[in-house]
Amino acid sequence: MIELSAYTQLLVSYAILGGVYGLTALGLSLIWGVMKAVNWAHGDFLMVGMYTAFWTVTLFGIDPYIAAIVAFILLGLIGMATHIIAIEPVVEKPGGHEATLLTTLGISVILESLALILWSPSPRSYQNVYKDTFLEVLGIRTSVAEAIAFVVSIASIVAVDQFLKRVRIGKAIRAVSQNPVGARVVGIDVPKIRLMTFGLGVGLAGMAGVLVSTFYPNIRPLAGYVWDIASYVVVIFAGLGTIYGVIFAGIIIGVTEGFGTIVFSNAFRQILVYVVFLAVLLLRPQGLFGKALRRV
Amino acid sequence: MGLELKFTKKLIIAALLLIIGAIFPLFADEFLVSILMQAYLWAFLAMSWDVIGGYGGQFSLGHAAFLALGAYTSTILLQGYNVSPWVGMWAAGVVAGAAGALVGIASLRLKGPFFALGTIAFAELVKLLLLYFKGITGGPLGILITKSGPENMLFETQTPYYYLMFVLMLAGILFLKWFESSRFGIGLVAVREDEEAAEGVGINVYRTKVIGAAISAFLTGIGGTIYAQWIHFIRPDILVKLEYSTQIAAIDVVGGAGSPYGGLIGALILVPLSLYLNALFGGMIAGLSLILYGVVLLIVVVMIPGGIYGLLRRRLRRKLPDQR
Repeated sequence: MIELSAYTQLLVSYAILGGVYGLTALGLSLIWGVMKAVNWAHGDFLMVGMYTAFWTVTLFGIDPYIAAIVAFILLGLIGMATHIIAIEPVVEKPGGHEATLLTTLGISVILESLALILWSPSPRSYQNVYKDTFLEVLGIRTSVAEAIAFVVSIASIVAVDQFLKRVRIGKAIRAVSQNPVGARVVGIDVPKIRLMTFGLGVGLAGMAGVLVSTFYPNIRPLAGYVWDIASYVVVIFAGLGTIYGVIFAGIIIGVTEGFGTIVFSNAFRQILVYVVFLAVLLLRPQGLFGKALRRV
Repeated sequence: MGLELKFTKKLIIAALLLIIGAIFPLFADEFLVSILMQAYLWAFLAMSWDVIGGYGGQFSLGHAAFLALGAYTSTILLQGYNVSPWVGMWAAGVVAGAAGALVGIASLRLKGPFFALGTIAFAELVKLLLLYFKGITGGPLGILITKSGPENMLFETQTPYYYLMFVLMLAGILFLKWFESSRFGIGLVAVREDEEAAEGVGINVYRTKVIGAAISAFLTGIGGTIYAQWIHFIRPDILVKLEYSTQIAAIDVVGGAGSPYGGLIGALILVPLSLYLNALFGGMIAGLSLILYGVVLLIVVVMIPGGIYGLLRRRLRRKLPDQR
């Protein structure tokens, strides 16, 4: 009986992790949908978000959840700058997909090296009460930080969905994502929408970084990598063009990892995730919840 | 007449470069020799990548996996079964090539970024499997090469390694020169440009992609053997790095993908620069040499698509408008 509840405990914390995976994947999915380009620096923006939390909390003693707003705005601006430098000049040229792949790869390498130079490779963490306070619901214990991260992740995903459905710019983003030529014909400023989308996507990554840093106190220059892979897996799993699919895919991946840990060893858990990932990629590239993609 | 002149000129330039390359270790110090040698090795790896990444247009970010598979195959053969790497490198190529064929099969279903993602996941999987099967691979501790002697491709000084990698690099260029005008190479480019049209003129797209990926991985596997023989030990985390996969692709793209010289040009620029920066700042600033790859990659892709070789060729053509 004790064992069983320990397993439930584990699965719940992996499901919570999965919810956060959903948020980290959302920004990637938006950018992918609108620009038909993968942002390879996504995890690194997340890492910058983690450091934003670290510095605002340690220097100014601000609450980490206010830091999340700071990170959203800051990373949004960094994202737009990145877009102007690395995406817009190449995105419409022939071979634009490969070019954006390379330029964002360049940005990724630059961000990682800058972080190494500025903040050294050793991991950091900051004091926060949320991590050390615990909730107990139905016999399952979780830290307040994890619970808040999960709730904020889901709330953000819902907010983004509403933004895309109700706000003018959001509708324009959807239009460009579905049909860039048609969007231009009806008078949408496509380059501006691309800029906004990239800013929004990177801003969301920054916010996710702050949330992750509240319960996963391992802030280091290469921290983005783990989340990168997780985000790609979730996006592929969910398929493009589905906002809520991202939540479910995130939780499914989280729980799969949890099961992998229980049934197999921890080392085998990761192997399982990659095998599942490759299988989905090969068998159902449009994702579990996505519509069939047009062949690129 | 004009063409003949150009040919002789080319021959003279090639011969001069060859002689400079061959006698370089005689009057350069060990540090310079070691830098140029590493540039040759990376050039060869970039050229291997070029087969599928440049000519084939399939953007792989998993080539470090083939490098590792090659390195592990020949090293296990050497340490466990006493097989000399001069023989083992061919086995390394075959093992890596078989893995490459699997990736080639995947490329039939995965396009563009999906393929790149798939190759990243593939490389991660290879790394985890190398870590997992401790009995064969030594797990996270890796394998140390304890043999010695030229018959085992192990040398006391850097100079023999220099010539080894010099020859490897030259072989790479000659191979690509032959490859790009071969029936198969032309078919691969046709598949890159338009799969359906290629199918229409009777090219077997399936076979072409799979064999293309296998050739690329085969060559990378051989590079892996040479790399292992040079650093004397192998470990999953130092071989299967996304950084390595990125670096291989970046060198080729900066130099000029889809050309026999792109890999060499890219490596001659990027490798010495990054090693020099590393030596200059040592362990003090760990990220400095890598940042260069990012900046150069960004500049080249945005400003000079087609890479440096592409730029040079365009310049030359403008000067000689009658020879198109």
